[in-house]
Amino acid sequence: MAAYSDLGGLGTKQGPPVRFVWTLPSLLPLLLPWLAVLGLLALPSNRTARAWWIWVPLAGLALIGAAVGEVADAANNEGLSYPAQAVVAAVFGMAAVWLLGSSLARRWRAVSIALMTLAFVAVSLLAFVVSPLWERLWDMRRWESEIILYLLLFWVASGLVISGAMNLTGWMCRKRFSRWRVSLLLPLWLWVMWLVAGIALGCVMTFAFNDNFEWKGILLAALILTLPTFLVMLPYLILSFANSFYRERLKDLLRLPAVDSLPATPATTPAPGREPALPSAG
Amino acid sequence: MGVAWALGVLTLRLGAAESVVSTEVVLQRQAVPYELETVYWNIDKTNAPFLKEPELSPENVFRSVLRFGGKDTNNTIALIWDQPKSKLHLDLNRNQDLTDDPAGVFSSSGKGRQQLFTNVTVFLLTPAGLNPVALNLRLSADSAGRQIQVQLGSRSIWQAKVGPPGKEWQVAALDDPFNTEGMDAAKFLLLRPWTERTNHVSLRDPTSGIVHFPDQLFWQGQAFRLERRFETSGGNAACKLELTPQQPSLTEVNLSGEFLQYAVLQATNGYTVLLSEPPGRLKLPQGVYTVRAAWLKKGAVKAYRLANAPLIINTTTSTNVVLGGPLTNSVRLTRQGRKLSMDYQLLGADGGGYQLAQVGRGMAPEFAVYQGGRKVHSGSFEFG
Repeated sequence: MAAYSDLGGLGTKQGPPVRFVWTLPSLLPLLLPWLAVLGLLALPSNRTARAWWIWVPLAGLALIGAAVGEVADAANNEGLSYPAQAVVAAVFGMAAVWLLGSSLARRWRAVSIALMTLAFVAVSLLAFVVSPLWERLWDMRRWESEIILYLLLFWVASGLVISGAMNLTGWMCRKRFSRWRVSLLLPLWLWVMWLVAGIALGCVMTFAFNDNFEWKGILLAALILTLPTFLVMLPYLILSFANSFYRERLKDLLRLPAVDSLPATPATTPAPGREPALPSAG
Repeated sequence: MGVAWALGVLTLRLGAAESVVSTEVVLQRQAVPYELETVYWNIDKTNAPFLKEPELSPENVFRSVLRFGGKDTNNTIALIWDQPKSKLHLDLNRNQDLTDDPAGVFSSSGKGRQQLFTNVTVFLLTPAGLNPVALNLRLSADSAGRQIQVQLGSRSIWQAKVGPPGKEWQVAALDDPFNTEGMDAAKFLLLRPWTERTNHVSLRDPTSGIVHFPDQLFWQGQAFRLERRFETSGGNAACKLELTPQQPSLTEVNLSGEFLQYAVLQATNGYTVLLSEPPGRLKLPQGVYTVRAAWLKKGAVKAYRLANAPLIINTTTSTNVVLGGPLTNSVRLTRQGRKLSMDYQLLGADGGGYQLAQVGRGMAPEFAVYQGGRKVHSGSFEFG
């Protein structure tokens, strides 16, 4: 490859050729988040065939996210490509939360929130680090040295928002659990939690950095962040409503008792691979 | 604009190494037609009226205070922005009476929520005395009307033309009016060929060749101790530079590289050197220098050295210095995951990055991709 430019006598127009040998990148790093999910499936609490249904929302969302990312990349639309890759990473984090649900919930509420956040952040970050976006962000440290710290704070904030919203949704559903109550209350609490995160950020920017924070933008920004967060969670919610194993997981995550307004599951230990009928709406 | 400049009171005896008589250069204050530095302030609106106020519009009148130098109460100037009348009133004499400052009333041609006031001169108190500062003020109010956003641009420069005919230099001192520790007059020095004086410079752009005012200067083969002071005569303020010849230890340097018009080298604790000599052997004061700016010129084409990779020159012993052209079009290829990143670089003979001074539309560098000696693709580099 060679570069050309008219230098007006300060140098020659054609530069010297530069050689580059292109080899296909290794696919192994891309498998790491999938292997992490596989590892979580090997936990004793997940040793049932019904737990393998987790691949449905995970693979579905990952495929959609990757397709959107590819289309955005081809159109050179970084405004869509970057969020798409972040959403794909969050899909893995969410799968980890669902697979670890019972272990995370059987503790004090504060510890449960912290552990849920940690699980989400750890697996999401693993998926994020192996994505092509990470290499670009790593390169951007040349201009913004703190970018990795901001990124980490964003993922921790996302984890706290999700675990906080799930706890608050569970609290609102403690007397009456139904798929509609959960599906309507969860986005509301996600929005509230993103608002809280925005206000916290605004306070830091205003009082610590003496910056002119655009407070009015928080309402809209929280709404914009709520939408992809809920879209990532929705397939897992649908799985939980349809699958008795994951319904119990959802109730664990919401910190609800095992008995609810939904019809009881027909068997406590159903045969692997056989699903009970879809429960009716509450 | 008719550039009003002043010759030094005495002609600088450049190259007179044997001279021990101090030379004085008088720099006159000028206002350049562009902004040397721009800052943005958010200032709170005050509701209480000032002691005396002019006749104002019934609404959309903003009262506040401009604070130069942070907590320095000596340089707070009350202001009233009458948005409907596009008028700005400044309390230049700081007596809270905004009716007795005829030179403090400014008009804007704009009528909207954002208004620009040009040629605003305020007098700021400095350790050297009262110093006039020419500013542009762009005012706008937030939607709640609680704060005023002020964009301030400084335009003051102290300058003189120095040197024999055909080899004149612009010697300029620049203020630091927005320093949070207080206004600092003539804090920076700018030296460049007089023919380049109309080229825009920025206080925060290291490629401009602007340096913190040095105590010691090496210029045209002569070392000087440099001092400055301010005087006012006949109502006009002047900044006087005194150049006293010095005899430092010199080291021989072999300078190579083409098209060098001038370069500014700065040692941490020593001399600031202005190089404008053709390639060859020359002598410089001993020291470890950083190349702050380097400008190349051939005909009408100019290029400057980028500041991202400063060049260090050690002249504690005799050395070879490569600075300038010829320039080479180059492309840096780096893998970013599944993508190949192509970065255009214009490299000098010293290995540093350069940029052409005039880059317009349709002048973007191009690239060509070859496979097995056959051209398979071509295109233009884009910014960003």
